[in-house]
Amino acid sequence: MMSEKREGDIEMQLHQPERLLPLAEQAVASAKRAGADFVDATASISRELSITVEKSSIKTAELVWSRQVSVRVYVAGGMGYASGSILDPGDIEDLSQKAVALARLATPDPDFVALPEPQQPQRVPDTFDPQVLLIGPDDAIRWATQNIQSARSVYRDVILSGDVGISASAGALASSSGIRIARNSTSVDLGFFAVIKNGANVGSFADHDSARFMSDFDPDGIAAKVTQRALSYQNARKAKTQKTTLVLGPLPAYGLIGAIAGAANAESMQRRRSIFADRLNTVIGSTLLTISDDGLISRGLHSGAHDGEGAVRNVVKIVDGGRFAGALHNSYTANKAKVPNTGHGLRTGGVGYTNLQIGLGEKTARELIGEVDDGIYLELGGLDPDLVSGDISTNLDFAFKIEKGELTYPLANTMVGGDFIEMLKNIDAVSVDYRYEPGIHMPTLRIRDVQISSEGQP
Amino acid sequence: MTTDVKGIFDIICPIVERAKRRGVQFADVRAVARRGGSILVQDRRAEKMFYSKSAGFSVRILVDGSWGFASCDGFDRRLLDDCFDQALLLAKGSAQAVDDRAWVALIEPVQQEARCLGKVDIDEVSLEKKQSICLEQERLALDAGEGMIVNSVVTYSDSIREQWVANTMGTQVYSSLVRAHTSCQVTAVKGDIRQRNYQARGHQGGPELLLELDPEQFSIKAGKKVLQQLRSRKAPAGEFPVIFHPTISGLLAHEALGHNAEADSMWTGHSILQGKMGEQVASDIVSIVDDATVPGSFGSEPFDSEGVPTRRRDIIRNGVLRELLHNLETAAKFDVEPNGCGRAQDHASVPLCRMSNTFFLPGSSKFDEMLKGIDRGIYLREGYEGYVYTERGQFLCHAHEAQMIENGQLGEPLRDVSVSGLILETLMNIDRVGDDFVMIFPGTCGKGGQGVPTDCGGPHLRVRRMVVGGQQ
Repeated sequence: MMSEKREGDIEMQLHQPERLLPLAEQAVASAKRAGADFVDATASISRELSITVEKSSIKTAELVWSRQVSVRVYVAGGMGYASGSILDPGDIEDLSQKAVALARLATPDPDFVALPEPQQPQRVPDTFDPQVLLIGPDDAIRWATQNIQSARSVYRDVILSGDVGISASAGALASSSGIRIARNSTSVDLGFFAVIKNGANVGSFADHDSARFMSDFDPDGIAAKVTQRALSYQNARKAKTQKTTLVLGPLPAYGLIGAIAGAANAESMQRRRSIFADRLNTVIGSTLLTISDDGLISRGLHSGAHDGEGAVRNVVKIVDGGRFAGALHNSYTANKAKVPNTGHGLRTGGVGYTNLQIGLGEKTARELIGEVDDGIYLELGGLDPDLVSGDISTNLDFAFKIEKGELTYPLANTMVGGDFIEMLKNIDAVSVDYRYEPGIHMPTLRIRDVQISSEGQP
Repeated sequence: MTTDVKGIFDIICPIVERAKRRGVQFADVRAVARRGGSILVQDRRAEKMFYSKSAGFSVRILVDGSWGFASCDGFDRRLLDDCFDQALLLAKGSAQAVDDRAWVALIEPVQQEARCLGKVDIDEVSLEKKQSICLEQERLALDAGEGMIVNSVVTYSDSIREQWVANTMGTQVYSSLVRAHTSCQVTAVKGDIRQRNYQARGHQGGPELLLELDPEQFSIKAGKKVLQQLRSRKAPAGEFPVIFHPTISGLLAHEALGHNAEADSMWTGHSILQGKMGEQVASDIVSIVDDATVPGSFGSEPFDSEGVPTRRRDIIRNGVLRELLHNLETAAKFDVEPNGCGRAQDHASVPLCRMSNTFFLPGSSKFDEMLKGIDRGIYLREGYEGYVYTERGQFLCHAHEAQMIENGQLGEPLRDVSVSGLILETLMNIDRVGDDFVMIFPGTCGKGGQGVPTDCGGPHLRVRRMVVGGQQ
């Protein structure tokens, strides 16, 4: 169904990202001529095909071609950043000069030392599957249609929405310190949300599947699964306001682990706006908690040999047996702290985590629930801690009551409140089994003595 | 902005004509150009300065009730031709699989231009001047924080967006629109307690936002408030009567009602309000409006992304559901006039039914009257964020600041806390609407992966009972 003209050019660049390198190199050279002390630049393109489903029907078939050049310049440590959706040499010169002018306006920063130097990566994870580029709209429509049919086979009147997305991107990065990187990646994603309505009685549920490689992707089954789960969320009731045990299913548990990695951001720690500031090498959670960040896992959803600054990625142990063992750094925070750069830099100067690995426990998730006499199981959603204050105050949107070790009924209008670190310390079990997504294992966690708000007052 | 207005129409209109010749049911072509800059001041330094420039086309084609959409970056005729080909192929290629066929409301062609550039041109105030105001605002926040603030961040951004829309009904609309936004976030520490306060101001206008900023209501307020938060205790858990300050009642309008009034949610069965048009869905003292024509408000714009002129929409009047937020497709399906709510984040996104500035209309109650009769309740101020599951009507509003109400009097200050409710229950439980009004909640509303600028506001409100996500 694709037209061949423009697709040909783009496809070549998606397969050969090094073709974009001269544009990044040109931006670096222009900025150096204009007076940059340090500069890095990227040139990137992407193609995204998506099929949207609404009301259990195909809604829209979309194709989006994107391109961008970005130039980051430092003058006396002050940063100027210019970006544009252009790939023309004349515009690149203009962007480079703008970035230099902005960097000159920024306040000098004595803590800025240098941009990363070229370095050989420990490993180069696979991120690009040529098979993904062969998937056309017909395939994506077929997957969407099959999912609609399988959802209807579970419940005829299900209201299904969601999308199928197939994307590919290529990018090149060059810097004044000599880094020259070209990389490409692919991804396939499928996510559905099912709603079951019987008058005012409504149940709903969502889930997804994502992969970088076709062989890791299963386009079937998600819609049927979310429909089954949506059926189980009908007849929801309020809980009682009380302290109880909270079991986090794989997705909410991974959200909580992600919050730990978010708070382990060295920039937030150095700025003292992280709940983990001043807590390095102290106990921040249960001894059952061990977490590391590994961006080098082949085919991992968040993998790459280099970070957004072109620094090589390193595996970092963030939490070791409940002790906060290591922060995630970019080049600026590492230089400021005089520690090695872990390779977690973002393009615009921040810090981000990749594939989080969680130490597993000994019992299954079923056993963890089975041991709870009175509690709550959160299947979807998260605790959403404030990473500055550590305060938690949020809804348990997709949760079940646990009674005598069994999931009994879904909950409505039920909230959770508490302190992030206190909750981490109250984790009393991590499951041995897990949900798997490429590069990521997501076990179940159990937390005792959690404050629940719903009907009545304590 | 220097883009040649006629020149872009000369590129996109032939594509619309091409679509007509191909006999499509409907097609529109959009061009969007955006240019903007931002400043990040942190810990007494103008740390980062940003500039961005983007442009692109999109083509949307409807064939046999099936939508195809393609977009590209850059104003390049060849790319636009490719977009047309792709959008047509996608619409035709997916037609067999479409069960819920689309059609659009027929409207009189709109051929207008509108320029909403604010009082001061974004280039008229130098970057040095903007930067020095941000640094001064930060200094004022730090002074107000009495040495307890460990991190301070002040941001400012402004941008100009030009949009061209042409469609097969003959509409040709051009608009240029400037928006500016500034924020101040401070973090303070006392012992083991770490708290932050965030203040934001934004408008549809230029850098006069910075020039006219009242620090008492912005940076100084952030510095003072964060000190108060350090002294606050944790909120209690459970069900309580709740009073919403005007700085958070808009969030309730947005989350508890606005998203459910988006007609695409209603059509697809995702709204708890489905089938309730003309029915009482809130107490009869409640009226809620969405209005994209409020002068200078952050969510205001003259036309939506389908080229339809925007207007005020009376969603609820005296408790009765009166009007939904429509794009061209939902207006056709509900057989009503389009009301200009089809908004897209950028050229690479399809227009969805969206809010603009959403607010409760003021009532007649005085704040003191609201306090009376509450033995133990919660007073919420300073909304921060929220969300809703529209199909179940369950929403959450997060407040930066709260206070106990005890025996009809304001009591101890409380740390930030969220409240949750079921929409139909909550709207019916509003038993007092204040005679005051504030709309200062400029932000970005997310839906379907797209973010669009919105604002929200209202008067004081009292709700008989809500769940408070307290910690003890």
